[in-house]
Amino acid sequence: MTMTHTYTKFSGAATASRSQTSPRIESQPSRVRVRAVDLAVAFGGQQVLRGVDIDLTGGQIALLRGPNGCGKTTLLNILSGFLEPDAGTASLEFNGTTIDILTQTPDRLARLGIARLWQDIRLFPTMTVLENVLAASPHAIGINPAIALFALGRVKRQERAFREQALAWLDMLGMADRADSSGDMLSVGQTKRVAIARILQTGAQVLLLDEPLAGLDRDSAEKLVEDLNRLADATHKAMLIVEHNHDAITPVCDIRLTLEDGLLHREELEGKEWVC
Amino acid sequence: MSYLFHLLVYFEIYAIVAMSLNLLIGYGGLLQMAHAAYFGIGAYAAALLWTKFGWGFFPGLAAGALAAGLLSLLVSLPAWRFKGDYFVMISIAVQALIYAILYNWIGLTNGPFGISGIPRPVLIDYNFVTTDSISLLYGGVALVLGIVMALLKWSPFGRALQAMRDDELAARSIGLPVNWLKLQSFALASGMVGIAGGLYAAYVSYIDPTSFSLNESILMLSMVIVGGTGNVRGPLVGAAVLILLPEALRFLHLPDTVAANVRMLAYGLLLVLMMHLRPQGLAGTYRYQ
Repeated sequence: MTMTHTYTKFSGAATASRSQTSPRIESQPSRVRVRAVDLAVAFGGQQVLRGVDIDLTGGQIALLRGPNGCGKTTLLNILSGFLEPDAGTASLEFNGTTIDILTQTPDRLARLGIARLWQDIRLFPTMTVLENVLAASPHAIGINPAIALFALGRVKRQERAFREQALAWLDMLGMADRADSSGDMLSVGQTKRVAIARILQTGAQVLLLDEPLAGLDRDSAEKLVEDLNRLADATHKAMLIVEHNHDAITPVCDIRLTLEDGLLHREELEGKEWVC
Repeated sequence: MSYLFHLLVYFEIYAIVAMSLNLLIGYGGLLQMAHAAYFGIGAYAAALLWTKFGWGFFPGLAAGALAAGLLSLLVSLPAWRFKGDYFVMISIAVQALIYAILYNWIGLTNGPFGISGIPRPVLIDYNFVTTDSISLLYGGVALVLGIVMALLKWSPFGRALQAMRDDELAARSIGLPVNWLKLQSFALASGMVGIAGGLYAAYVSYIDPTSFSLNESILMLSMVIVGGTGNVRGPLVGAAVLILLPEALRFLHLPDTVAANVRMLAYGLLLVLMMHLRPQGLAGTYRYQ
């Protein structure tokens, strides 16, 4: 059976927030931009990346593809601050400020706006689904023990807002009814959806997603692709997605990046027709 | 009756010790083996200020906590880089280092001869001389610190520590300042065990380095493991069991030369049984791995 879907990119926050259960989505004042120039990495003499350039602007979705072991995850590791390249530069531009990605720690980069979904998911197994998402709440004042002890009211108010937002993300991803389940009692697909809710909770403007569709059933994958597309448009988030399920993700992509033999080829994509 | 109050005082002191260690092990997943050293720093700092400078009870206690909290940098900074078994080795080294300082810096600590004549607590002209009055005072301090621990556990700080414990890499990737969290949790736990050290010094009136050795750190660790980690009640149960166990062994009327060894055997057996039968501890929610 062949079905044809046409993706219509949402035009802004007003459209995206019509549904009561939709997460709170606010337009950003300026578009984020991630740029990397001439990145090179070698492991034990094997050149994994050579002269790799990336240019991604808020609202764009880029598919990063290539055979296993070609260096896709290595590239995400560099852009999320977990790996220092041998050569090259990488920067994050947002609200008129340029930040050198390569001098930042991963946690600082996440707070500045680059969050990352892991290929092996990495949920916190002893915490509930809701706690997993809440842990990623940005600028939580109660993370300071002095404030947690002496400004309980302020912390509670902020936590209430975080909780509402976290439940909204979980609802969007179809996991709201499992909010109180333990993080280690979920299927792979459910775990993946919670992990996506967790990085959305960070409020980051740049999302690096390592195989977000792996482990998801067909309907969930379709819905997730639709949601990511909507988010990219409505909130001007930039997304770099490593995914082997090309057919599912390509229709919403603006850019296709192919990594082969350490070199990155870039194609601008036109049209959003999805045939499956 | 006085004997029971004496046990109660010890329970209160070690309840604080176990709760503070639980903050590191149970919430943060940081296997600290130098806790007795920080217990000793609190005890020595407070005892010196009380005996040599005539400080009041609570200011001395606070200074002991501050000293232990500041010196926690000795373990928290290496914890940024070293994890798991490597961190355990570092913390054992710090334990040995602080013990050696307490033992050898005779000008300050009086070395192996220790510090005697430490005054009992005095609060607004009231002398806490009897064991029952001290148990009341220490119970109040333990209660306040227990409430602090419970508030921290349920706060975003506690949640961030749990996330760090479960998966440090994932915690970093969602923006949690892992190094800063380690620094804060070590400072808090060391400050808290420093308070317990001050309370201990004021109660026993005499301290020497042997009370703050690696064996003592292992005893503290046993309390947390036996009682259970990850919640507030686990360490309390562990402290009660390990305070009462040697007392129970007294009823066997063993000769002194044998009693100490039997006690160590009992600890070892208890730990092995716990690992097999109830790895999360008697009342814990988290299984340390």
